[in-house]
Amino acid sequence: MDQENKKVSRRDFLKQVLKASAAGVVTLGTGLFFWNRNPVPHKTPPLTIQRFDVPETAGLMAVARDANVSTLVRRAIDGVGGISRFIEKGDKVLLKVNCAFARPAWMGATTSPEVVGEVIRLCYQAGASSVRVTDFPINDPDSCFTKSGLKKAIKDAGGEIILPTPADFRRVQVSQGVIGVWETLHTPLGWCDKLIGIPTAKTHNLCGASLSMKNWYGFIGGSRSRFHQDIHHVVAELGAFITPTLVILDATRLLVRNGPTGGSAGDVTPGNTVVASTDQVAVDSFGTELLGLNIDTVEYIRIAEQNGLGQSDYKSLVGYREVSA
Amino acid sequence: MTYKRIRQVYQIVFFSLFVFLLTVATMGLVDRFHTNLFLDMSALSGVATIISQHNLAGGMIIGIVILAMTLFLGRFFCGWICPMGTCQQAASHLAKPSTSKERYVRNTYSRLQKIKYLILLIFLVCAVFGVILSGYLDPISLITRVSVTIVHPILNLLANRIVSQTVAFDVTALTGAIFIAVTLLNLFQPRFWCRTLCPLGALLGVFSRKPVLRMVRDEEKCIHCGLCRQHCQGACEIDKNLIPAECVMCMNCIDICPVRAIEFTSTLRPQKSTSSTDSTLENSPDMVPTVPLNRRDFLLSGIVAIFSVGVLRNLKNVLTRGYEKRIRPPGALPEGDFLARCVRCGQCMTVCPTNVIQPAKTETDLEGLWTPILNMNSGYCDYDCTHCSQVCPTHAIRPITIEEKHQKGFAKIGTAFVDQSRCLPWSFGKTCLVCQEVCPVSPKAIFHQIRSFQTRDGQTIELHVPVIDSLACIGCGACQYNCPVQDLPAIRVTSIGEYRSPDRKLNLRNPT
Repeated sequence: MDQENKKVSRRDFLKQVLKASAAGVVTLGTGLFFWNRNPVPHKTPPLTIQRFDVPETAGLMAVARDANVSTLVRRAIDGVGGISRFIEKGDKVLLKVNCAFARPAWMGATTSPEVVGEVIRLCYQAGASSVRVTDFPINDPDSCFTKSGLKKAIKDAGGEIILPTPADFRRVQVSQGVIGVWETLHTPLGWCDKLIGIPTAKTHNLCGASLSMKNWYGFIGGSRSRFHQDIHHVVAELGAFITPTLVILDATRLLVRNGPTGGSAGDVTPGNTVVASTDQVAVDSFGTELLGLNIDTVEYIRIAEQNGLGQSDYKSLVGYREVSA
Repeated sequence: MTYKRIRQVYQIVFFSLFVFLLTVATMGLVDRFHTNLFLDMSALSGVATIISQHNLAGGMIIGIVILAMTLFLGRFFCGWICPMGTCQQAASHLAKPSTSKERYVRNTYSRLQKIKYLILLIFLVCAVFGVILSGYLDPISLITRVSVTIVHPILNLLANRIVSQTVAFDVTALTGAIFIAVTLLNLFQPRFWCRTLCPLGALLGVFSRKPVLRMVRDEEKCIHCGLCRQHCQGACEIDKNLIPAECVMCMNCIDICPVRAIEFTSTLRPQKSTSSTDSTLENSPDMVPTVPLNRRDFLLSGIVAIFSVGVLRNLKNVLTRGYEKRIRPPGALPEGDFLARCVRCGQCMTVCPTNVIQPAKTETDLEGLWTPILNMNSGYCDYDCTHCSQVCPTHAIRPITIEEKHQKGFAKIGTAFVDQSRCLPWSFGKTCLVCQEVCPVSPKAIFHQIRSFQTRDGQTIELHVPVIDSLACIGCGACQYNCPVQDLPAIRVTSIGEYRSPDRKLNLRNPT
């Protein structure tokens, strides 16, 4: 400051001009650098999700039936070759349960805590380094996991719950069809090496039955209520989007009426069944029958089958087995 | 010719140009003239959008050139070009004190003059978070907004015998009150706005801390008469230690000096050091730093800015949740990007041929004050018009062509809904279907169904009722504007379904 009253030499003046010129060049350069840059904000390309299926395990399905639920999960998984066929030592395993509603487990709206706990224990026995459980429910996530009893069962078995936060959702190329690019629960999917879906068998007011393919709905964020306009194509696309290591259908009890929420004891009947499979179409076809529905009323199974996702005639699968007491 | 005269000629020429460009803009001649010239000259808008969007749109490079020139010439923009500055300077004559003593005191540097730097700092920190508030007080945006939403409608009203359509805008009371209040502050100090409040002046001030050319007072010749200060526009302490960042280059001092001691020249000229002989003058402030901000000011502005962002943006959840009245012009960027660019100048409003674009008041909360929204009761979006997108200086409304508007979905700004309880055929059994008639898309987004209606005396009549095809509807509002139920129309557009955000689509499958 106060330059005015100093005697300024030619050298000082040239220095000052040089400084001003340098600042001018920086100013103009900055302006030119940002000038008409990305006239429209650039969207980063959508992310993709890796495959989780294990080679040479396609077309396996085992149905375990028993009134004693505690051993069902182990027997169903043994029926498709045992857990170590799917989970390797050191694997990070993600379990996608159905925990869509903050309701007690007996209402049948969420996956049974016993089934989930047993899967976690089996994964650790196979050498999994970490087992995490997630869902993006319709009700408040924490209440859902607490009221459904899943929180306690998961903690007891040594698993970890991932409650989705807004930062976990990213734009993902879900399909090339109806869904396209959508906000998707990306963080856990990007983290895990293996993915096991554990849906529960429920009727559904809109799409007939909510089983393994519909279970992936819980990976989807954004304004997903719009999907109801074309639910069957959406569910079939979700089935193709996620390629799980294994699907385990919890049909220990069935929500046969008033799905997907249930609400009274009369809506639930015992199912005494657990299915392990690598074919989502076969599982959903089986589950639909178990719920007493005609498979033709559950349109997404047909769409998925036409798209080559699996086989609805599960009994003719090469790897089909029934494991009964 | 004296310096003062030359400066006045420039001011008149630039002010006339400003008026001329606004006039041709209101006539819709946006293709033939660069109607944004003055908005482009605002380095504040340019720097703010560089910070918020890492992008300097189109002609706004002019503002950066001016900023670079400021390093050599000081705040010449304020004194010679700025139309707001010209207004303020003209207004300062309204209350010129009669005594020389009073004039002298009024032009003393005031500590309040650092307020403008605080305002600038708050705006720039907000811009980091994508909240652009600079348009509230950017002088070019401010005077354009006043001209567009107040002066233009009044002139239009006077000329209404020739021009059939009247234009009118919302929130003019607030817009005008701010301008009048700012202008009346000249009663307190000449150019109070430019000295104390103007954030663009502050930005130019930062770049003219040590300009190469400046007012230089020859201490040997100076007789300390104080005339220079009496006529000073910027309160830049020319008679003591010049604060170049406050000098608005009015050059009154050069002409008024009886001994020709002041020149506009480089610092090369040798001068005698006489700063110790100030004792003849009273009220001499201590050495004033050119940009007088300390650490506390930075901290305070930062906190104010962050709280502003939190209150204005994050607590309202405006980016994730749709708001039905936030209908933006076709071509508008997604809401977050839009708010990070819009400088609320009102150019889009003045070029709109149907007067549908209105400055937002409560519809968009305080953050969106004066941003353009479409009010389908005051007009409708002309299907074959893209004027607003052509004039947006910061590309908050990106430039689109008619073909792009029709084919790439930019026309889809919302969706119309029939309010069956107010619709004449639906509710009262009267034939109408005005909405279907005016629908501009092909095939029409409004089709009709045949419905039986039982009248009061028991007769059953059949009539056509309007039904909307949500895929075809673009939300232009022609139906709402023309609906005969005029207070709360029986068919209304809300922003749902707009192309800008996947979250605000309505249909799962959208037409491409």
